[in-house]
Amino acid sequence: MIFSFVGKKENTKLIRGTVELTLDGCIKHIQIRGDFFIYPEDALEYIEKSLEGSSLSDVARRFSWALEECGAEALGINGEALQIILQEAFHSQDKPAKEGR
Amino acid sequence: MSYQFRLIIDTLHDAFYNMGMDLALLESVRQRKTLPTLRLYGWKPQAVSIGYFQGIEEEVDIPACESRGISVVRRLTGGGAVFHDQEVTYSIVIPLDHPLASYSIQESYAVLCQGIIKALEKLNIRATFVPINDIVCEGKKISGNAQTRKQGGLLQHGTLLLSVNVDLMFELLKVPQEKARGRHIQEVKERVTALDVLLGRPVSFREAQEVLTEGFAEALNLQFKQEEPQQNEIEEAYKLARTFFSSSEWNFKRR
Repeated sequence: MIFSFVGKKENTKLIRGTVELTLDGCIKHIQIRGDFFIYPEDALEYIEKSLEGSSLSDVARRFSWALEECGAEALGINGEALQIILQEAFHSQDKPAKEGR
Repeated sequence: MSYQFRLIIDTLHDAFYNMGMDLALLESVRQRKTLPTLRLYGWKPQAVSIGYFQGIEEEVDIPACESRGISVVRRLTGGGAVFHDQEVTYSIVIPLDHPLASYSIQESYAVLCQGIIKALEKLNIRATFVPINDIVCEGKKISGNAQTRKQGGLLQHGTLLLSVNVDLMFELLKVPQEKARGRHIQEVKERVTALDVLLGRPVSFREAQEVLTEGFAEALNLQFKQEEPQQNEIEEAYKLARTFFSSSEWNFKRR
């Protein structure tokens, strides 16, 4: 299942992207885009890679872990907001897939 | 104590050269081949720049830009899409061990943006810094700013709008509904302002360069030595423009 997500939460910039989920609802591939800032910039690719295999309900924790792991700093994006935006986009899909745990 | 800075009063250049020169300056400064640098420049032809993390086709109406001869370039820095038309753009480049770079990233936006706020003050315009990266006057944005830190150097660049054609801006940029948050497009358009609107008179490129020079000098305690870019920086900027910033691989990544 592949779908797009987009949203803007309190204290964030616009967060958008595309995610592919496995049959059991885990992230197979994700690309995050938007007008936020991450320092250093190439840390985002590491964060995206770190989210592979994650359930949508574990995105916030994995995002924070990956950010810390590569010593990066984010402004205008955080794991909690990303998780909510992803979950909202997932639930707005028509398909009856279930979110993995 | 004041800090010795190089001042480059530049002219109008194309988008790819402008981004190439900013990167060339970052390389020079971090290698200590030159003083920390403030560069003031413009854009010809008009251009749209997108943030490092944005998808070009999501943010920009490419056919509309092409039909008007407007270039589109991805920046080294994060942040949003910007239509560069009647404005002065600054770039400030500082080694990371410089006292002006000793702040946290969020704090350093606030510190470096004081240069623009002071410049506006010289025009009798009261403006404030609004985190993360904006300068706002009478509730409307007049300057956007973006920073990157790479290999020992800090580059922050940003705009000061002389005049703004909001209809053209919003024809070229795609504003997502989520950003408009239910507001009508007219309300979104009204959130941007420019010097000519605030002052009721046109402000020239040269005048804006002068107040920005004074504003940065006073706000950040800089002592300028005005110079042209070094020959190797110019050559590097053209090379980066040709081989990197104008490449589809760079501009169409993250799609």
